[in-house]
Order: sequence, then C-alpha cells, then structure tokens
Amino acid sequence: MPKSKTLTLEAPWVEIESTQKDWDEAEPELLKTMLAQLHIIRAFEETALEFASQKLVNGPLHSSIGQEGGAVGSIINLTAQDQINGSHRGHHQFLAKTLGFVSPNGIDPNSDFSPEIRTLLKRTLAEICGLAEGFCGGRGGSMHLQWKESGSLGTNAIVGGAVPFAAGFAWSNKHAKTDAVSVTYFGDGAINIGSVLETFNLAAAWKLPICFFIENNQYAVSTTAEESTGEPRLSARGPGFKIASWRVDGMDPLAVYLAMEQALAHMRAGKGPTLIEADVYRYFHQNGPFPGSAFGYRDKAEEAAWKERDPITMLETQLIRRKLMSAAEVSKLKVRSQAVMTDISDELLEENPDQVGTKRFKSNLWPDPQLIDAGIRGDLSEFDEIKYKEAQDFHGKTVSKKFINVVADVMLRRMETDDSIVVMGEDIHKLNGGPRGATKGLKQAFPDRVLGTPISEAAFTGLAGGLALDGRYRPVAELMYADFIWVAADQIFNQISKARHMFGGKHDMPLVIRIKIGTNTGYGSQHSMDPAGIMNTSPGLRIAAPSTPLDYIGMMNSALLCNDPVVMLEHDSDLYKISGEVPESDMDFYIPIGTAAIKRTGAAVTILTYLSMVHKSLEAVEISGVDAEVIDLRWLDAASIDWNCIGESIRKTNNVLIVEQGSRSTSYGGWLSDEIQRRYFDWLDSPVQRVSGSESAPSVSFVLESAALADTAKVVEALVTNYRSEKGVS
Amino acid sequence: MAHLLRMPGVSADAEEVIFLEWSVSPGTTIADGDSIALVETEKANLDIISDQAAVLWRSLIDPGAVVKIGEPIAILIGLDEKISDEAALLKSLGLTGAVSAAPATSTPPSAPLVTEVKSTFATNNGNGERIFSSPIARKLAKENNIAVENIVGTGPNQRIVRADVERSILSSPSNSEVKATQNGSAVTKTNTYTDIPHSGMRRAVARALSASKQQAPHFYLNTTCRVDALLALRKSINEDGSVKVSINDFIFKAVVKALVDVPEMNVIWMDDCVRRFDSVDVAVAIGSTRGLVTPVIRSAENLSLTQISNQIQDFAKRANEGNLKQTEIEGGSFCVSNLGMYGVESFSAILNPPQVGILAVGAAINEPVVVAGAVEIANTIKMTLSVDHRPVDGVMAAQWLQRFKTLIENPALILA
Repeated sequence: MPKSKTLTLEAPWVEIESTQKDWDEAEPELLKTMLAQLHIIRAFEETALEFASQKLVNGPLHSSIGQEGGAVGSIINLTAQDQINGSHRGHHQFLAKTLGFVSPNGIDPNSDFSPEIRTLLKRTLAEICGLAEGFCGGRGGSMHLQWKESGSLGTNAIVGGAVPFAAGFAWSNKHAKTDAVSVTYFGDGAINIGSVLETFNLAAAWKLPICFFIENNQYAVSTTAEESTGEPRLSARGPGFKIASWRVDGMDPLAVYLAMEQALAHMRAGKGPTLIEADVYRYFHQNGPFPGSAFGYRDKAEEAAWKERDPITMLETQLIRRKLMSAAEVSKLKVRSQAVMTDISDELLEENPDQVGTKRFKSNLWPDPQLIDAGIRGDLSEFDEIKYKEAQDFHGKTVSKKFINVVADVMLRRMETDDSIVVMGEDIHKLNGGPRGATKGLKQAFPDRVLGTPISEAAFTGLAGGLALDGRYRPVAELMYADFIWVAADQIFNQISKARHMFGGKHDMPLVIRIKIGTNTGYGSQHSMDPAGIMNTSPGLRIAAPSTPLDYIGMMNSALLCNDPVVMLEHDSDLYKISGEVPESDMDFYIPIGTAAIKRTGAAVTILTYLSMVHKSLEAVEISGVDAEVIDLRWLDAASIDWNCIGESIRKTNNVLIVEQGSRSTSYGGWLSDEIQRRYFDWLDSPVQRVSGSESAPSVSFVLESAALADTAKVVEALVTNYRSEKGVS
Repeated sequence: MAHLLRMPGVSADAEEVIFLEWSVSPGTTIADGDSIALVETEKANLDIISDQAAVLWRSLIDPGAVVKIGEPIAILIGLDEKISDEAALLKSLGLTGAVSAAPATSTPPSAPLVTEVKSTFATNNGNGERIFSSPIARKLAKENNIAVENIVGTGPNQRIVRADVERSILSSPSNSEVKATQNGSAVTKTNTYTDIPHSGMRRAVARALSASKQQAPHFYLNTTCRVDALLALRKSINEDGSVKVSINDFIFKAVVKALVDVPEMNVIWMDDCVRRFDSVDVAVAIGSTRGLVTPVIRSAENLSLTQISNQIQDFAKRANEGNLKQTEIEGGSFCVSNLGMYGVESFSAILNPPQVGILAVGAAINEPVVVAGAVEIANTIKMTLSVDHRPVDGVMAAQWLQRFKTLIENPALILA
C-alpha cells in the first residue's frame, strides 16, 4: 500500500459573518451612507424596471434588485483611484462606485441628494435608455456602463469578458507603485468560463492587486450552481490558484464590507489577488420585471425566504436599533429616493400622443444617428507634429540588417524613450529574445516591463487591453502564431476593438498586438493562418503589414505612437530571415498610417499585395513579362488603407490582381475586391482577380503546404492568364 | 403560331451581318425553302432561307442595318393565323412598348420595331442577350459617343475591353462629330479629309491579314521562270478557238500539280498538328470591285486546265456581284496572286490564313538571259513564294518552287 500524505492549500479560505458587536461598532456614517446608497440604487432599479415594463428600454434590462448589499458593501470603502468593472448585471456596482466618487465623504440619508447625485442618476438612466445624455452617449446601454473618471471602467455583456481587463488595471496600479486595486464583478455563471480562470492564474502568478468578486445569485439564468459545477462553493476556486478567498453573506452589507476590508488590506499590502464570493439573490428573473418563479425554475417560497433577508431591511433594523436613524427618517429616505427618480423620469419622458396613457422619450434626447460610426477609432491627432520619412529619405546612409534583428532593435529603442511601453507574450523573456529573437535584449534592459506570460492568450491579451483602457501604459502583446487570435478572440474582437466606440468613442485604446504568421514553417493547419482578413472584420483595429526591415521600423514607431489598437503582422519564415537596408543611425522615424508604397510602376495591371507576397509579386512580374504596377498596401484595415494610391493606379491600369499568400477561406482580398468594384467600377476593364492559397488551411506535409499557399508561380500564372494580352507586355 | 424569326448564324466567325434587302414584303406567304432576305457578311452575300411555310407578318429590320446573329428580324405567323390583338402578340414576343405598329400588307415600317429596345449604350443586344463589355469600356464608349453594340469584343467571353473601344475610337468617324451609325454606311466629309466607313469586306481583309502577318512567320523565296514554251503552248491552245486560257490558268494548274508532286507543301499549321491534305484546294486572289476575295477551287488536282479557267472566271464574275458563297471562300492550303496584268514585275504577298503559301506572280517581260554561254532574249516571269515557316522549312519550300519552275518551263508536264 502506498504511503499517503494529506496536502493542504496555502491560500486562506474563510467565511465571514458579521456579529452583533460588528454592528454595534460600525461607524454611524458608514451605515448611513450604506443605507442611502442602497435606497438610491433600489429606487433607481425599480424605475429602470418600470421603464422596461413600459417597453422604454431597448434590449434586456438585468435588474440587480436583491443584490445591492454585495455591491454597496464591497465598494463603499474603495477610493477614487481603485477601479472596478463588471458584468451584464452591473447597475448596482456602477452606481455604488460612482455614488462614492461624487460623494466621497458619504451621503447624509436625511438631506436632499446633491445635484451631482441627481446628475449621476439621470445620466445613468439615460444611458440605460440609449439617450445622448448617457455616460456612453447611449451606445452602451444597460450592459456597457462606463464612467472612466470615477474608476468605473465598464460593465460587460460577455460573461467573464471583463475579467482580464481588470487584471490590466491591477498591473497598472502595481507598476505605478500605488496601492490602488481593481475589483472585477461577475456571477456564478462566469466562474466556469476560461477567461476568468486564466485570469485567476495570471493574477496570482504576478501577484496583482485584483479582487475577483463573485456575486453568487444562485442562478445562471435558470441553471443552478449545483448543476454547473462539482464544487458549488465557488470561493473554493481561489485557493487552488493560491488566491486568498472569502465567502460571505451578500445580503448582509456589513459582512461584505468586513470581508472586503480584509481583502483590501491583503491587496494593498502587495500580497496579490483576492477572491470574495457573496451569496445574493436576484428577486427578478434574468431580465425584465417578472420574478424567477414565473418561469418555473424556482418557487415563490424560496423567493420569499430570501426577501426576508433583504439588505435594506437588515440595515434599517440595525440603524433604528442603534438609534442612528428613526423609522420615520428611514421611510423618508425611501420616499426621497423614489421621488428623485420620478423627477428624473419626468425630465426624460413626455406623454405619447400616439398611444394615450403611455410615455415616450422627449425627441431631443436621442443621440444623433449620423454619428453612428464616430469614434470607432481616434483621429490620429497624436501625429500632428510628426515629420514622416520613407526609404528614399535615407538614400546613401543605410546599412543592411536582418528583419528579425530590426524587430527587437526598434522595440528596444522605443522602450528607452518611452517608459510606458510594456511588452508581454509567451517565452518572450527567455531563449535570448523569444523563440525567434524578436524580443532580443529587452528583458535585460527592462526587466519589469518585459513580461513572460503563461500560455493564456485570453488572459494576457485581455490584460493588455486593460492596460490600454487604463491609459497609463502602452502594452505590446505578442501572439506567437496568428491562429491564436481565436484563443483570445473575445478579448481581441469583443473587448479591445469595440471598447472605444461602445463606451462612447471618447477614450483611447493604445495597444499593439504583434502577430506572427506561421505559413511555410510546416506547423500545419492550426498555426498557418494569415489573419489579415479576419482582423479586418473588426472595426477599431488598425492593421500594419510591413514587408521590409525599414518599413517595420517606421511602421512600428507609428504603431507605438498611435492611440488605437494596432495589429502588427509579422512573417516568420518569409520575412524574419531577409535582410534589408535600414538607416544607419535613425531608429526614430515614422511612416504615416494610411500610406501604401508603389514598389514597381507599370501599366497593364495593379497588383495589390502585402508582406512577403510583395517580393514574390515583384519576382512574378519579371518572369511573366506583364508590365504590372506592384503596390505594397502596408496598412490594411478599412480605415488605414491608401485609397488615393490604389485609385490612381487603377485609373491608370484598369485591372486589379489581389495577391495574398494564405488560405482563400480566411483571406483579406474578398473585402478589398468588394470595395474596389464599388469604388472603381467604371475604371475596371476586367474582373478583379485574386491569387490566394487553397480553401483548406495549410497542411503539415511539405508538398501539401506548398500547394496550399500562393507563391511566385501562382502569381505568374495569374498574370499570364489574365493580362498577357494587355498593353505593356514585353 | 406567331413567332420571332431571328438572324441565323451564317458562318463560324461572323457575329453580325449587314441586312441588304427583304426578298418578300409583309403579308407575303413564304414556302419552305424560299428566300426571305438577303444579307451581307464580311465575305459574302447570303440568302436567308425559310425552313417552314409561314406568313411574314411584320419585318423588324430595315435594309442597311447591321444585325447581330440571334437578333429578331421578323415576326412570322401561321398560314391561316389571324392576329386580333396586336399589342398582346407583341407583348408575348417581348416587344412591348417598342412598337410603332405597321399592319400586315402595308408598306414596311420606316423604323425598325425594335429600335427603342436598344438604348444607345445598351448592355443588351435587343433580344435579351447580354453584350459583355467591361465598365471602363462602357465609360470610354459613352464618352466618345460610340455604341458598344458596334464594337467587336476581344476579351474573355468576347467581352468588349478598353483596347477594343480605343481601336473603335481610332477607326470611327466620331472625331468629326458624326455619330457612328448602325449600318456603317455614312461617309463623313470634312474640310480636310473624307472618312469612308469600313465595309464588312474591308474589315475582314484587315483583320485576316493583320492576324496573318502577326501570327504566321513568313519567309520568301524568289525565282524567275522562263515562259517562252508556256506562251507558245497557250498560243496553240487558244488558236484552237474553243476555249481561251490565260497564263494565270497555266500557273494555277502548275501550282496544283506541284502540290501533288510535293505533298509536304500541301499542309496547314494547326495549334496541335500540321495538317496534310489528301486533295489539293487552292485559292485564287481576286481583286473584285467590292474588294479582295480569295475563293477556293476544291480538289483542283482533278480538274483540267479548261475547267480551272472556267472556274476562275466564274469566281471573278460572282465576286464582282457579291455572290460568292461563304463555303467558297473558306479553307484551302495555298493561294495564287497575280498582279502581272498591271505591269508589276515582282511583289511579295501576305499569306491568307490558314494557307501555307501564296505565290505572287509578276508580269511576263522580255529580258536577256544567258543560255549555253550566249545571251538571248527570253520571256520571263518573276515569282515570289511566301511561306508559313511554322509547318514548312526553307528546303522543302525550295524543293516545291524548284518543281513548280520545272513545270512552268516544261509546260507539257503541266498538262500531263
């Protein structure tokens, strides 16, 4: 029989209950402010539900009624520097944080509410209703509430989607040597999703001051925790990651406050992340004004039992018992809270003449539909003072350098001049510059700004997104292979690229994602994607695709100055190995975003291409004898593509050949072709032709991989087949 | 049953014809096999023959119009059919709204019924079939006031591409502010020049010979044949009185015989092979009043000198009338072109595709020749053989020319 030894987890895991003594000793102002916040939030939520029942809210409204105790108890002790984000059910957290921000000295429950509070409530309700006055101009609504200045950095409609960002806020707080923390709120449904668990691990590994606050409201829509997991005590997740964890009754705001007090002490002392599970209960269904029992997944008796323990009632009872407030004062507070919401409703609504007895929003409150696309990305005003340079400006003063060395050199140079740049990715800190040498020398020079990550693309990409949203640091995240964008897909496509526009189009998202393309390396179907086409489906991302070392320097410098997320496409086998002329001494020049480069002038056809296919297209032109104009697109996204250059060329040649290396299925050229036929239809003399790889993803076998990818021969074939008889054939 | 009569395909490479005249007028009953109309292709004039008995109810085309293959030209109805609702009939045939109805038995409508179906820059040839043209081609055509229907496309699917429009601009009279007309018959006169629009035949000659000169690598062999014996033989034959043969008839017959004797020259170049013929089909170039035509005498190896002579005379007559059949002007492996009657001593001819050779025959002249060390005066003709180098090498062509020269200088062999 083998010997057994019982192992124990090192992180503490405790349950906190408030005692009578705690209630007796609690600061009166704390309890009174808590009650004021609870009443305000409850009245707000009742008004919002009323709006929803009158069909005044477009989309779902996830009520937090019944759960306010957890939010108020955990947030009331946060400072303005502490940051929160949350989930789809986040009104109460948003209001608790912003109420604390506008009333840092507490709220007197016996006085009229301040104008700041009224404005806050009105702007929040306006946002939920999709009105221009809302914090995000009506774009965010109920599920995407953000007021950056208050430290409320955004609720989120993707379950678990906000959690990695909060790790980014925490990293910024830690690196800035503040004791500020971030708190990320999510529910029992999100506890089982990958991004949350990845972030647990990353935060623990890097000892980030982040609190994972689980509002366990017992139901993920209608599914119980017991159905979803083998360990329904959700705070048990923490210790496995070595995260100090608490369980607390969320219906007891003081107990939550006390648990958070311990968690804050832990985090502010630099001991790393914490986890708090607060048991709460949403009185209503997932969304809308009906109780869950109406949908049959729970019964009225259960709902009645939880309502017995309502946090407002509990707090009122204690305040009256301690004679801090009278019963009359308490009822007045409730009436005043409801009255302020009635006032606000009246300011927003008018009688609906089309349907007697109903209300509608005053028409001047809606956002301007003309501005639907405003603020998807920045205006590039950060480049106002920049003097640009191109290859020809360095004539005679260049040296030959390998592409891969330039990748590391320019980042080293920028990190020297810009303390805000933070580089992260898998293995980038070891192996003498990562697997290919792209980060060579960075770790030695800047050990605390070069972060070797666990293999958790969702967590570290999202952490980078959090850095960008926070704004103090400029992250550069490396995805080792392009195909890993799917692993990090929610963070890249739902979070990073949408964040600016969705939250109102005002705040920057400065971030660079370096993506290595693995075609021609024999890594097979899951490592050989050219992601340009996929990245371009996501407005908000800018896409850079440099084909020469010199362009890489100038374009990376621009990417690192740009206040939008920039995807830098890099080609391992085709480009890292090549050498090219770069300036002898200048690593500080910029190549303008939105400019293509004409690599060869010609009359017969315009070849539009990028990355290594630029070189292969030039080769193909010489072999075919077709007098093609070759344009290196350089910037690929819909906002940055150089239509001036492309248009001028098409008006000259009247023919277009789009050349890409990768699979046809995920390709970029479809979009480009579509744009071209609409923009230049009257200038075309033949259909837009395309060279791309196979329908299938590239395979491992050498011959199959070669067959799957476009190469010089395929470009020659396309040129000869389509343009041999055109003018300019030699 | 009323139905549309569409312009039938008349030859493999003709996409349109010039409509010359109606053989019958509206209201006329047509029998199976009757000619309905006469049209001109680039190379010949053709009758449109009815394959059924019917009544020509309505003509849709005016004489002089250029008509695309497949385009409706008339409405035919059954022998006993009565049309009560004309509008419904036109609608059922897809001619709605385009009608300035002229009833049967009246004079043909002054304007074709389908005119309004075709817009000036239509992408549709009037009977629903799309004319393929690239966007830039349409834009250019519009800017230059050229109807794309009148341009022959050289792109994929016969798509009209930019280059086609540019060629059309260069060759159209639009520069002198006259719109290109559908039948191409307008002559544009300005102060400084006169533009004569291309006839179908002019276009055909230009196209065929441009292609030949570009695609077939020509080489040329020259020789001088002494024709004293030939002239003597001709004289004796013609003195007989029953037939008259020309020098050219002898030369043609000698060409035929040389091709029989050197069958390696009786070939043409194909994309995948060299085709050698069992019979000898030789064309004769005729400068008719309507332009150059090259009708082919088939199986000429079986014909006598007189038969050949008669055939050539018949060709010449019908060429001037525009009455050569399409089948008569296609094919052949060789051609004889003679400008001797104009005093031309020698010239080089361009091959007439798909033929392998063309013999350019000069005038018979007197010149001094050296025979057995002594100078004497002889009748000679200078011959220039143009050869397509793709199927035939120089030595083979030289052997053929040598054989031909032998035949000419020993004319009894020609008749043997």
